[in-house]
Amino acid sequence: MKHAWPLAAVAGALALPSIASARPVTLETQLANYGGDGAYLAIYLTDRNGRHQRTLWVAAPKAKYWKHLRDWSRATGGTARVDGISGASVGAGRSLRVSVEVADALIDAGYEIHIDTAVEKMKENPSEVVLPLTAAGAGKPVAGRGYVKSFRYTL
Amino acid sequence: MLRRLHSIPGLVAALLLAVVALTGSMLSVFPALEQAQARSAGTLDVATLAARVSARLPGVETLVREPSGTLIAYHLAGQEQQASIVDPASGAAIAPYQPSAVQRWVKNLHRKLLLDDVGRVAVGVAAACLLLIALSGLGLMARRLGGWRRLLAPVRGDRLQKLHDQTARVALPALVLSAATGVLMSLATFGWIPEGGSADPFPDVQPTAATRLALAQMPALQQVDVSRLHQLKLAAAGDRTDVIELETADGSGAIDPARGTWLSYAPADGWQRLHAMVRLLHTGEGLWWLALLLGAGSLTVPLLGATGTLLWLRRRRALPRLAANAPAQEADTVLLVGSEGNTTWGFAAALHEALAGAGLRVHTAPMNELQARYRSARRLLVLTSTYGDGAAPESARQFLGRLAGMQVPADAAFAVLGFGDRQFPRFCGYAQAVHEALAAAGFEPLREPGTVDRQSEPHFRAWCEWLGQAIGRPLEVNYTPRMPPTTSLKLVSRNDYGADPETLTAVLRFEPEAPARRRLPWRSRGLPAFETGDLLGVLPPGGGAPRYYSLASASSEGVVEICVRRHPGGLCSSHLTGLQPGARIEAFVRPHESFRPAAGAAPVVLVGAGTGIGPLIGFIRQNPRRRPMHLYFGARDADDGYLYRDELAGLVDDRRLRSLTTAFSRASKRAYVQDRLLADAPRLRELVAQGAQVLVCGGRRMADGVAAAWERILAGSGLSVAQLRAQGRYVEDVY
Repeated sequence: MKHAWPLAAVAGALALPSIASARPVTLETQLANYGGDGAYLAIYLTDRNGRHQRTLWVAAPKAKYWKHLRDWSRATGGTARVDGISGASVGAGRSLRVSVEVADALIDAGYEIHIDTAVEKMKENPSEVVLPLTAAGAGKPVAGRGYVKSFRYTL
Repeated sequence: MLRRLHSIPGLVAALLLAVVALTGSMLSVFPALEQAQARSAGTLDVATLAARVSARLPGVETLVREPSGTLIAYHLAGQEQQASIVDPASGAAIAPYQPSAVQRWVKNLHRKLLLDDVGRVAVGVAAACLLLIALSGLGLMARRLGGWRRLLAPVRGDRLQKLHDQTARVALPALVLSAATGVLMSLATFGWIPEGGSADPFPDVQPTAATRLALAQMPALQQVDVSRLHQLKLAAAGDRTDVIELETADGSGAIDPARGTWLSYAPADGWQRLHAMVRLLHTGEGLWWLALLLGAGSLTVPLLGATGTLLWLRRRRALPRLAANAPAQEADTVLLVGSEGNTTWGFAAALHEALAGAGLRVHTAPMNELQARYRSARRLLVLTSTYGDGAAPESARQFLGRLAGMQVPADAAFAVLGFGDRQFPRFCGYAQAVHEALAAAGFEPLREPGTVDRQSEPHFRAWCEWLGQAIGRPLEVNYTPRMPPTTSLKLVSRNDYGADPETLTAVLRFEPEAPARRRLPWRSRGLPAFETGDLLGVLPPGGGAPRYYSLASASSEGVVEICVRRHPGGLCSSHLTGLQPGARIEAFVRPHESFRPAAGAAPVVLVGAGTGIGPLIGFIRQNPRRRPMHLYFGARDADDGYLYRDELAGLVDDRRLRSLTTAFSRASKRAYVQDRLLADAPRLRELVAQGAQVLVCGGRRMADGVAAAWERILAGSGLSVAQLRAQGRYVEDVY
């Protein structure tokens, strides 16, 4: 008990700088009625060379099926830590709306948002959505090639 | 123990199992439907197929083969991805691929109760329960039928028991397969057994060149037959760094689009092959006939659950409460009970009460609870049934083992009373074994083991009376058998035979007041449907134990016909033979399935004396197909007590009865049926060789004489009465 407050102070000091230079980004994904069970989704950022930068949201509770989110799981080695940025799978016709903190330095800097999707016993769609993360592109919906009917982000 | 392993999981999981099994049955239909719709690819290699499809559907990305053989192409149509069923012969899209929403819903109900992991766990536990129930049930059935080798022998017991056992025996292989594979699939889902395939079959590999070889010429695709294909992902048109990915039943890997050769390949490992096999055996996807067989097996689960629950309830209801049960070490009289269905407990409770009423300190317990020593015991009484062919019943399974380690009290006497059914080959066989074991252990026998046939109350009372004398204390036994609900019957006609009114025999025909209904276990009111040979239980005036009379008619005839001989001083027989048309009685039906002609066209030899003719003439009347039936009938003489004399002559004339042989015990040349049988020995041996069944009905002494005669008739033929009994070909209705 004696050590509780110095520890909290250290934690707060570490957390502060990242909050200062980041802003919330809202991700809205509407799925099509593809006629299957709940879809697994991975939404993540890559740099201009296509290298994984950071994971934004994983709608895929069972890690054993992450290998079906092909591009994302390959980039992260299938062992990503997703505490606080993960949730349930998304049913056909349903939508997913989440807000995440994104560093200002990643916006308008050549980074791209990718979405991998997979549905049990149906086709996998690695990177079915790919779009640049820019201030100008915010709020403009795009369609995916697979189960994503429309996706948009707002800054 | 085995019985508990069988009933407890059954009762707990019954409802869940019914849901899982019925949804499984529904799903079992789909593989056959899909198989019927799938277009056969014949022998076709994947290279040719891929070339055909990409020629007709230029935007094709992925080809998937369903286990049924249906081929699905995922392709871009404009900006949208479409899934189409393709014809392997032309590569053209035949129809859009629309997986059945109903099938998906039923499948999710089947494998996770429409829930998430909670549902998956519940279903996995249900599968484990089913496996346990099926295997313990198999063990119980083997014990009941007299050993593993006799698993296919005819099932004995009443209708409910037969319905349960016979259904279970047919469905067992399917249920074991469904349950065992279901358990394995559950274990794999939760990671308790490895899934295999640890190596990534698609490591980050690059094409060797930017140019692309035609699909039809790719050697790696040419080597794979379409029947082995799971999925083929082609290289993306716009991405020159993309490769082809192929998944087959034998392994998976990446293929170089420039050369058509493997860039990487991981063969399916042992675990993957095991899971594929388990999946095939569970779902029958790709093996439609297996799916249908498993589905049919699963359909029996609700029936087995319902009949099993009813059997369990019946056993429980038969278990009585004992008042003033003395502690084991203080009792002077130890009463041990061996019971399978708990019916023996009813008798034990009555005896317990009578012994306690006579001033004894009685300790009553299951035989399995035999103590290593009894400090105060002076006598040991054992009431036990016999399970199947001479085996110990459930509550006595450990008795002989415990007896071996027991310290036998000095000067302790014992007596054994066996409960059984003379239809079974080793009547009261276990009681006999217990008697011998107790004598060998050093207990002093009071007498040879007594027997009670088919819960006969008079047999039980007679033994108690003897016991009271043997221990010097008269016993007052108040035994009230569990009485089924009775119905009211009206006498419509009677035919009397015999000169002496004190010993006359009457054929009585009743009509139910309410129309006969179908026998449904949950409908207990009104007279249920009955067959010739079943027993009519009649309550004598003033109450008391029912008397049983064999039925000469079936409910389909609309009348209830019995033969009653008046016994001097007989309460019920005097009452019945004194009835005039219009009078009413209270009665119920007790099934007696083992006593009726077996199905088929084999000859039937009917042997009876006196009122024993009742069910036999019923069988002959119901022989419109003129199956060879031969009757040996014993009566007092041709003019006195010759029941159905004219009707029998008529049945011979229209050949429903092939031969009629009579024996008259009071004629000038006195003869009994067994004499007639012996005289016909060669013919009877021949009939038995043709598969004949023998049905005997009458008094105990006649039946014993007839059995001895048959023993002589069969001598040297390689068959014995015991063997015929075991096959259900020698059955008795004896009183």
